[in-house]
Order: sequence, then C-alpha cells, then structure tokens
Amino acid sequence: MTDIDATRDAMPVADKATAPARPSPEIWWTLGGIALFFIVWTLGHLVIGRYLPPPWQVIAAAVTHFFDSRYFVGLGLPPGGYWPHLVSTTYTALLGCAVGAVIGTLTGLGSAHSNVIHQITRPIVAILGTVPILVAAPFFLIWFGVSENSKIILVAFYSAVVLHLYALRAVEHLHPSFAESASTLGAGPWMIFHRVSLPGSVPELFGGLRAALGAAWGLAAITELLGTDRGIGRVIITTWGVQDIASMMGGLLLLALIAVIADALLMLARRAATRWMPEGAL
Amino acid sequence: MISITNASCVFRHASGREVRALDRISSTIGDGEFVCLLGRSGHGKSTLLRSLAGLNTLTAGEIAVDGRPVKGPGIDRGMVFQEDTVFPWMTVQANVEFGLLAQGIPAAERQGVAREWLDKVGLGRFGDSWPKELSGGMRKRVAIATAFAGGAPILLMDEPFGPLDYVTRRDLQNLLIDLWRSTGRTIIFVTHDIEEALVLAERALVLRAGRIVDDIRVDLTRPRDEEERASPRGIAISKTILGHLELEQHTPGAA
Repeated sequence: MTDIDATRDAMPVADKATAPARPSPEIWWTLGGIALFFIVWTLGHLVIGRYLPPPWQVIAAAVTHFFDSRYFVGLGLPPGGYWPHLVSTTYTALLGCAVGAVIGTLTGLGSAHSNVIHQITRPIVAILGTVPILVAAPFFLIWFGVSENSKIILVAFYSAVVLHLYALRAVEHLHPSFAESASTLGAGPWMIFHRVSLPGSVPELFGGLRAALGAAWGLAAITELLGTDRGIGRVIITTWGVQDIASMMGGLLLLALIAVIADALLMLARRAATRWMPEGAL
Repeated sequence: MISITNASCVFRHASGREVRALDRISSTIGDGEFVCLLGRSGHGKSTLLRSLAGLNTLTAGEIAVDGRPVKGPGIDRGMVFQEDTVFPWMTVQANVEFGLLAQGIPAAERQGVAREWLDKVGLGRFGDSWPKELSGGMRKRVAIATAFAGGAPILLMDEPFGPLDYVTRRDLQNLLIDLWRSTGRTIIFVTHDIEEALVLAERALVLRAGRIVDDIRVDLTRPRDEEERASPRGIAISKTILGHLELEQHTPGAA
C-alpha cells in the first residue's frame, strides 16, 4: 500500500500546525475590557463617593498591607498582612475543590457505568443538589467546628455535586459505539472505564472543574465571613468593623487575582490534556 | 464456522408495539467466506450482525461459532462500525494496539503487530498522529487495521463505508478485498448498496422483514470492475436482489 491518499489528506493539518504563533488582535479587546472595568469602577466612585473607593486606593491598600501590616495586627488580625489569609483561602479552595472533584468524578462515572450505582446516587444528588449551599454553610460550621476543615468540607461538598453531574453527562454524550467497539476488541468493564469513558470525559470534566473552582473561592470566603481565624473572609469582616472599605475591597481584589490565575492555569492544563480534540470542539 | 439456528429477535417499543427484527433465521457461514447481508433499512441486517457480534441478545434461537454459542462480544469476532469508533484520545498506533492490549499481549509485540497492520492499510507513517489529523477515509482504515490486528478470524462490518464519498469507498473496498484474500478471514458485511455487494461478496444473503429471502452465490470473476458487473450474470444477480427489495414492482415474475 502507498500513502498517497493519506498524504494528500493530511497536508492541510500539517500546514496549520507549523503556522507561526502570533498574538491575535483579540488580546487588545481583552485589554480594552479590563480598562472599561476600571473606568466604570472610577465612575462609580464619582457617583457613590467614599463608600466606593477608587481603584488606586484599593490597589494601594492591597499592596501596602500585602506582606506585613501593623494596622492589621492592631485590628486583632494575625501578623503578616494579607499574605497568610490569601494562602489560607487558596489552600481551602484548591484542596476542597480537588477532594470534591475526585469524589464527584468517581461517583458520576460510576453511575454512568452501573445502573445500581446510578439508582443509589440519583436521589442523594437530587436532594443535595437542590440545597442552597450558602444556607447550608452555617450548619457545616456547627457540625465540623469553626476550622479549616468545615471550609474544606463545604467546598468539597459543592465540587462533588458539580463534578458528579458533569461526569454523568460526559459519559452520556460519549457515543455508545466507542464502548461497544472496545468490548468487541476484548476489553472488559474496567478497561472500558479507564481507557474509554474516563479519557473521553476529560473535556467535560474540565468544564465541571472550572465551574466548581470558580465557585470554590466564593464559598471559602463566605464561610470565613461566618467565623474563622484565618482567610480573606476574615480580613474583610474585620476591616468592615472599622468601615475601612478600601482594605475590604483590597482583600477581594487579591482573591479575584488568585482566582483568575488559577483559572488560567486550569485552562492551560485542559489544553495539554485535550490536544487530541479537534479545533473548535470546545 | 458460524451456524445460525432459528434466530429471532423481538423488540418492544415504548408504545407496546412489537417489532420482529429477526424472524426464525437459519443459515451457516463457512470459514473464509465473504458474505454480504443485503436489505432495506429496518429489515434486520444490522440486528443480525449485532447478534453475531454479541452486542444484541436473541429472544429465541441460537448463534454458534465453531459449536460454541455466542453469549456476548468475544475476541474471535471483530467488528467495524458505521460510526467513527477510532478513539480520538489515543494516537493511531495506540488505537490499533487496543485489542492486543485487551488480550494482555506484551508491549513490544503489540507495537510490532500494530505497525504491520498500519503498513498494510497504507498508514505506515501515521502511527504517531492523532485521529483528528486524519480524513474520514483514513480513520476507517485505522478501524479496519484495529479489527484485523485484534486477530479475530471473523470480522463483522456494519455499513462501514456508508458515510464516505464514492472514490474513497472504492479505495477501501479494494483494500478490504486485498486483506480478505491475503488473510483468509471470514467477513460478514452489511450493506444496502447492491453495487457494493457485487464488488465485495462471494455470497449475498438478502433480508426482508427479518427473514432471509434469498441466498445468492455471487460467482463473478475478480476484479469486479464495471465490465464484470455489467456481464449477463452480474445483471441477473442485481435484478434478483432488486426484486427482493421490492424496487421493481412493475417487472413481471420478480418475487
């Protein structure tokens, strides 16, 4: 056999792959969007006044109190500025999200594979999925104490429900002939699970991970507002006590920055894990 | 040898209506035969093929391969689907190795066998490619290589070339004939295309309403080019099949 037919068909793809990577004009629109955000914020300051500090005051607060702040210590916060709180909230969000994601992915893929697991998990997810997570937050603090643990459990709980639903949907979207083809090639249930269902679900799982991680920051900070010794939420509630809105918003800005960076890293990981996907399929 | 004995399959729709997809089918298919299952859509071709693959359970009767009843999919029966079943998340090479991996064959041997089959289907240089970098016809070649590499003596093909353009389909038909002749495997090939059956088959089983209505020896000489298919015998076979498919209702004498 010759490769003539093959070569002809494969050429356009090879051309695309070797095309130079030049920054697209879209980056300018993104920068424009960021500029617009700060312009609206500044306008808001002009209208509302001192209760909505302008961007430069908020950024100044975030920078001044970042690593060390006597002012924060004076308010009763532990020494070290925003930094230890940022680390604490990031730790909570990432760990909670990771634990929940693993549990949710396993139960979701499990229910897609086994009708028994599906029937067991269905009512549980239906009930848990409808519980408003913010209303449930105080209960977690009562049950698991005002500690790192209750924050992590709350975030994990939410991520597990999200990933369960995304994983279930991912397998439903996978064409059944993939699994059938694998079984005619001699693959058993386990091989179909880890060589077909799992890799085939990866694109959708990243979608679920993105949704869960996006919510994790807020959930972690909200539980911190309710009572904790560490975390960005603690800084916000403490500085609220002295009407220092610039420092409150400084904490928020730093948390948003971390969230954006984490999301960008997640998208890089998705790109690396889904190189096999056709362009424009996501 | 495959023996099909009184195979029946009744599907019950949600409405309660029963559809007899296979109705007491009996036949035998010998080793090394190239059999086409012909018929109109919804007349049982795919159900019969999926039952042979073990992907569909009969409601009555039995299918046996070398005396052993078919209970489910098995490595003695490979399958090429109409859908694109090449796993997009594996390289071409890993796809062709999949069946060998399932059988627990060591990596070095897997790689060797897979490369050999990729060469035979003309994709020797594409082992490291992702399926997305291949055309639909090339992915079909990967699916064929995967089925052959698995080593199954019986290969079941469910309208595998259906979605392809005419010229690509002719290329793949020729490839399949070459592989069939060089390996001597049994191929059972579902198609609704009479021309495709004339090009490929040694034998055509015509299905209508879940029953085998004719079993025709396609005794044309190879290659089955345009002239051969237009020979008196070729035209006679076409007419017989068309008659069974109820396309020539005006022709007197057609069953």
